[in-house]
Amino acid sequence: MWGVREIHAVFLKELRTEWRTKVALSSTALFAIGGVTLAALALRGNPPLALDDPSRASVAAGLLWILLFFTGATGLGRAFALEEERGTALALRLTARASAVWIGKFLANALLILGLAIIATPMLITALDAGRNVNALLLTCVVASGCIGIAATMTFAGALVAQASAKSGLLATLSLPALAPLFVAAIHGTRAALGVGTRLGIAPAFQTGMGDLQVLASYAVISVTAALMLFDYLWND
Amino acid sequence: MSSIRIAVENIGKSFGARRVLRGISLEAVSGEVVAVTGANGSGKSTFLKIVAGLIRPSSGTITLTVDDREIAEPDARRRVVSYAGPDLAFYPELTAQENLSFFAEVRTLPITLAGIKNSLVAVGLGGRGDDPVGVYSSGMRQRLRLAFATMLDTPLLLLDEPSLALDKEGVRLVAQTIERQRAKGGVTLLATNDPEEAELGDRAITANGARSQTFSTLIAVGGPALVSGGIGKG
Repeated sequence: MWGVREIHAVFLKELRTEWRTKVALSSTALFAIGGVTLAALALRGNPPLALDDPSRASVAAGLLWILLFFTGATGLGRAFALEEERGTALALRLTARASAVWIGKFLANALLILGLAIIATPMLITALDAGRNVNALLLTCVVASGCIGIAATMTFAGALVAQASAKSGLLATLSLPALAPLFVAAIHGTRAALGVGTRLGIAPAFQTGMGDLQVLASYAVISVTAALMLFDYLWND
Repeated sequence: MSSIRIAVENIGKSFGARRVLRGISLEAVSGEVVAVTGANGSGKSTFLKIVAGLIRPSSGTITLTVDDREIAEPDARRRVVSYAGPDLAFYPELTAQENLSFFAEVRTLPITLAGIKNSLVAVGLGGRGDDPVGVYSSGMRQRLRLAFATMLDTPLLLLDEPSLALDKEGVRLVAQTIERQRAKGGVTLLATNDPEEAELGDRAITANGARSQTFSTLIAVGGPALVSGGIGKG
C-alpha cells in the first residue's frame, strides 16, 4: 500500500521546503506568540482579573485549544494548496502514491503543531498562572493526542480545500465541525490536567481525564484511518 | 526496455458543459512516435493527461499493455508513464538536484546521486544542478522537465510542447530524447504546434476545430492500420 522510503521522502521534502520558505513556521509562530501575549495582557492587566484557580485553568484550557485550532488552520492547511498553486502537484501525482503523499504531509504537519504546542502550552500556563496544580504527564498526553487529531483532520481538509477555487476561510469552516468532538474532550482533559475537579479531592487528575484521553486517542486513530481511506479518491480524481 | 502497446478507443472529455475532446482512437506499439498536432486549446494537453492517468476521461477506454500485462488502474498507469509539459513545475526553493532526487525517491527508482547528476548533465544543466529552481530561466526549467521525464525511464513517454522556450541545442536535445526512447522500444506521444517538431513522429493525429467550436475532435492523419479514421500522412 505504501512504503517507508516514499513517506520519508515526502516528509523530508515538506520539512526542507518549510525550513527554506518559513511560510507556515512564521504564520503559526506569530499567531501563537501574539495569542499568548494578548491573553496575558487581557487577564493580567491592571487591575488583574480576580480568578480562582479552577477558573484560571479553564480559561487557559480554552485559550490553548483556540490557539492550536487557529494556528493549525493558518499553517497546516497550506500543505496541499501550495502544491496546487505552484503546479508541483502534477509531478507529485506522476511519481508518488497517494497514501505516501498523505502520510508524509500528515507527519510533517503533526510535527509542526506538536512543536508549536510544546512552546505555546507552557507559555500560556505561565502567562495565566494556571499551573499550580498541573499534572504534566496527563497534560502532555492530552495535548499530544489532540494535536495528532488536529493534524490528521487539517491535512485531509487542506487537501479538499486545495481543489476549491475559493479557499479563503474554507479550511476553518470545514474542519471546525469535524473537530468539535476533539475539542470537547481536549478542553475537558486539559482542565483536568490543570487541576480542575481534582483539587477538591474528587478524583486524581488521571481518573478525571482518562475518559477524555480515550476519546482523543480514538479520534486520532479514526481520523488518520478515515483520511487514508478517502485520500486516494481525492488525490486521484 | 519492456514491450508496450497502447490502444485508445473513442476517448471523450467534457469539463461541465464544455466538451474538449470527442471520439479519439489510436493505437501505438513499441518503438513508435505519434505526434499530436493542433491549434491552441484543441485538447492536445488534455489528451496526454488522460493517457497519463492524470485526468479521467468522460467516455472511451485506454488499454495499456506492458510486457503482455494490462495496466488498468490510473495509479498503476502513472508508474509506466513519464511526462514533460509546460504545466509541470518543480519546487522553486529546492535545487534541481534536490528536486530530481525527491521525485526519484518517491517513485522508488534505483538511481544514485551520480545518476541524477548525469541526468542533469545530459540536458545541459550539469553546472547548475545546485541552484534553486526558482532562479532558473524558462529554457532551463524546460530542460529540467526533460531530465525529469527521462530519469523516470518508462516505456511510455508523453511530451507536451517539449521545445517550448528552448534554444537550438535544446531542440536537438528533444530530438535525441525521442530517438533514444524509440531505440529503447518505448512509445512516445508528442503534442506540438510546431510542424517541424511534428516531423519527429512516425505519424500524426491532428486536433480539429479547437477555438471556434464547443468541442474538438482529434482526427487521425497517420498510419491507417493503427489509427482509426486515419488519413495517410505522406
